[in-house]
Amino acid sequence: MTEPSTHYRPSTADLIHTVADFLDEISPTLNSGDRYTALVCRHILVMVEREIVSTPLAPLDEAALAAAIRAGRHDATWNATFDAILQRTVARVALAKPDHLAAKHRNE
Amino acid sequence: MAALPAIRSDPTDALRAAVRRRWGETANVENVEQATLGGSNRTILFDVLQAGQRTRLVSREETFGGADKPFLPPDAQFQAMSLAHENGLDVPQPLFAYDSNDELGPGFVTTFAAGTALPRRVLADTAQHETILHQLAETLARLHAIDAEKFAFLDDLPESGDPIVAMRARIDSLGEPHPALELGLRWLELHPPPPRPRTVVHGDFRTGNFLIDNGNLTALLDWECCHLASPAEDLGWFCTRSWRFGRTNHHAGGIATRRQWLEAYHRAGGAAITEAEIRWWEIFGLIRWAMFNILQGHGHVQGRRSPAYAACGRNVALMEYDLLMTLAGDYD
Repeated sequence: MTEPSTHYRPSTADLIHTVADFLDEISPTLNSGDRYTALVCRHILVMVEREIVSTPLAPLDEAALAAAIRAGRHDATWNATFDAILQRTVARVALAKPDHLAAKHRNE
Repeated sequence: MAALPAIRSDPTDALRAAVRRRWGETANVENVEQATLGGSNRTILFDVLQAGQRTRLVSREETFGGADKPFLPPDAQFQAMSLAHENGLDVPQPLFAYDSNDELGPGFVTTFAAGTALPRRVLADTAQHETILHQLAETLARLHAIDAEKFAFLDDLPESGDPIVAMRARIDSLGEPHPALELGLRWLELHPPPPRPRTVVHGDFRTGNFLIDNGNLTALLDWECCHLASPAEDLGWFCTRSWRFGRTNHHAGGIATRRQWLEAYHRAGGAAITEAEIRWWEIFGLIRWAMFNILQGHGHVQGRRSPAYAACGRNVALMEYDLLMTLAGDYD
């Protein structure tokens, strides 16, 4: 990804990663409640880092699709609909928690 | 934890006042400890000292209630737990409910049961799993055998009606479209399980919601999703992939296979339920767990803010993935 000219180094992703690393570093010194929250915060930052360098999903009216599925209008094209939704879901999991994906859906 | 809902950080004075209102001015409160701040409640452990006797008790308060939430109000939880206790189930005995004169609540106080609920700890000691499986099966069979009429106060809950209708309404109320969940619900609608008479169901029967002490079940906790439904719902929720905590071949809460679980339940006097029927409820369970995560993310945006609740919104994709992989036959 080309760095937006607005910013000097480091990149936005790098800045986020730096904060995530710091949370990692201090978490052993925290009480159990705060340690848990710090790890959640770290998880959120690393996810956001993946999000900002990712390609957006293709535009799709998901509300209309949801309503059409509910109304049975995709019953006849079930497999195609299923595959399209699975593809978007895999892309979302790859951002939220890539190691949740089965081997066949992992990149690299 | 500054980001949590506005509740008093040290409730000792309020607990002491509540206890003295019920048990007299000589009662005292010590060793107050916040156990968890769960998805819908706050749990506090404390000792009551009276006439030289020390008794450990538990206070549970609702932190995320309201008619639009899929959680029972505390008074109904109190009633359900009281009935379960009267019928011999291992459940903390409800002692009193808070009222408007208390500075705590809505909520109630129960007896304390020893043990751990932590899934990793419960699942680590595999030698105890067979005993636990049978105790869980007996507990559930006994709950489902209680006359459902006694739980008529749960009859008006959406979840006590058609589960698909109720789930669609819950998802719609959260204002975010989820085609994957719709696909799951449509599949459920097209492949209905055999009809069964409704019984009372615990509604959140899973690893993490019961206490194990020295290899034995000591208490079934977290009754805020109790409703009237097919007993297979409880069995299927227990087998839902999210509750296996990585032990995916041990479908039943990470402790046994689906077949072992169904056999144990039947041997304990429960209905004969097939694996196919349980799988229907597991698919429903994945949708339901996704809905709870949408709810927590929605709650965060609406002002009940915390990092953990914020993360829930994105996590929905994980449950959607498990749902689709299960529907595709990739996951068992």
